[in-house]
Amino acid sequence: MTPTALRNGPPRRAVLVGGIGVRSAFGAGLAALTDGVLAGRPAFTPVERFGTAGYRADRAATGPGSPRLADQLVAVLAEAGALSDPTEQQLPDRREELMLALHGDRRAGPVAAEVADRTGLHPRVYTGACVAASTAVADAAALIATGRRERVLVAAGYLVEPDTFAVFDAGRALAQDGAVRPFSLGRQGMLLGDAAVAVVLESAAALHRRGGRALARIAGWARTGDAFHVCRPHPAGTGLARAVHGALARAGAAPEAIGYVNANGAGSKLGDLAEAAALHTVFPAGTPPVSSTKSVHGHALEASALLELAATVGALRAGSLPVNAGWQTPDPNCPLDLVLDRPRPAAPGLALSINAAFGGANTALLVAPA
Amino acid sequence: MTAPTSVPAPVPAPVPAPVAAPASAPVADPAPSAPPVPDVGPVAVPRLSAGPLRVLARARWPERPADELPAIAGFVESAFSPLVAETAERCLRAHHGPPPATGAPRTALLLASPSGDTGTADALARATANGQRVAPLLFFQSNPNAVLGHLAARWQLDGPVVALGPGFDDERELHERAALLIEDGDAEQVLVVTAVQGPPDHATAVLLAP
Repeated sequence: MTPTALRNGPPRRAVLVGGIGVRSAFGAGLAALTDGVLAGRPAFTPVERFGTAGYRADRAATGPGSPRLADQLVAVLAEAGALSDPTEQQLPDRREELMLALHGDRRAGPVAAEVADRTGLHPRVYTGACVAASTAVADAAALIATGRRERVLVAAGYLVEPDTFAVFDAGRALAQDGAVRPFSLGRQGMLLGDAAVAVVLESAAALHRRGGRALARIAGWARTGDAFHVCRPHPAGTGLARAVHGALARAGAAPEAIGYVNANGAGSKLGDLAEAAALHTVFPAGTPPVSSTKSVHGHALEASALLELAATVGALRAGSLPVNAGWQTPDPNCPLDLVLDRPRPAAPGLALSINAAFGGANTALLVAPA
Repeated sequence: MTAPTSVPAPVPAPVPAPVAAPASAPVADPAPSAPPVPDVGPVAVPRLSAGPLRVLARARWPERPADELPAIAGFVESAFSPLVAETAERCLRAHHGPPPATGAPRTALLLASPSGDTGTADALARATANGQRVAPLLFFQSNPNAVLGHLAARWQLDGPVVALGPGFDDERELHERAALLIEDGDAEQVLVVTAVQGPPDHATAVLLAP
């Protein structure tokens, strides 16, 4: 470690998003994802990839067929520009590091090994459930902001498959009515969704040297814990609110600087309540526009935070805020300024992408327009 | 991902009353005059790292032949979570005494396991392959964050909760990740646990500070 790190202060160097590659239920590419979330059209269909007879739920947001995760990850890394030689190798004697968020079981090792073989990268796998990818982004941003790295590659992948579908169904986490309804009365839970996403994060100098153009800037980040329960969030959202304030501190910004919140919003009863409480703590006078794009692309588990970061970047670049689909009836305990019915023009400012996971893990990422 | 309300969630015993700030407590002072998009130039004086992290306490499992893992309420089928919990407990007790670690510096929990909870994965795979009902409790322990949540609640440690898999193959790399969490400001100490489910099962834990 170099002795130049900041503690919780504004980054010394800008952390830029230099490329994004995406595969989601909306198809290939950031444009397809952006079009899908801005259309507000949920991508949930009956699962054909495997049998769902005997389960409570039968829908997910999947792409066609049964793609291989390693193939999808290599494709999005190429699409993001991660496989082109950087102008300056930070580690000339070592393979370039890839922070890779995957479900933490035996399959992670072989997938990471295949990605390594086909790309020449050195994957380091993050397995922390729904904050795996955003934790990787935070680590990557810290490495760039402190000058340790010129660029860091982050990727994440989850494809809907029988084992996780079965265990989420057994846990009664999946919505039986086939829709994800974040922050709405009557919400029944989440639905799973495919995602493979790669993001190239780099310094301004690295981006300039290769003649690239930034898609966005990671202005702030933070990771916190609730210290509350195995799997339930703190009902007051204290850890999540602390993550948002930590990200704001790093960005040198006040809550009023946030113009959009891409919420975790999985559609779970307790999770949405805790998140609404956290947002009320951060924005006591009322929130900026809020939506959960999980309502259309589903919950991609370890890849969810990177998919939502990509959707947030896409929305900022389009100047339009996606709707919170599936919403039916106000929940008085979720007093948020939800984007409903149709996309809303994006106001100038930062976008906040927040995620929460089992174990009381929370992350906040602040995204600025390029 | 959070627990649905309709299934009894495992409750680690004992879970002390949380000491985290209540909702009404200020989390940070807002700065209304801050610009909407900040200048990202050099605006702060770097805080120097003090070099390698200090080891405040260490533990391992097994410590001796016939060492045993206490069960944890709500965790079933697999020894992975008990393995992580017991090894972490030994390390934290060596430094803090019995839980909770009231007043401890903000502590991150970082778990590294190359193949994760193979016992839970195998139980799940068996059930789906045979068309059997999947035990609902497997949902809660189906990712490594769950046991970290158990530790965080029991010890009242509210730093980052991080789980890592393959690719972090030596202690130096894990210490670098721990140092990054500290230097980045999200934690003041880091409990690093490594766990491999065998046979034989083995795990280590180390509490690190600047």
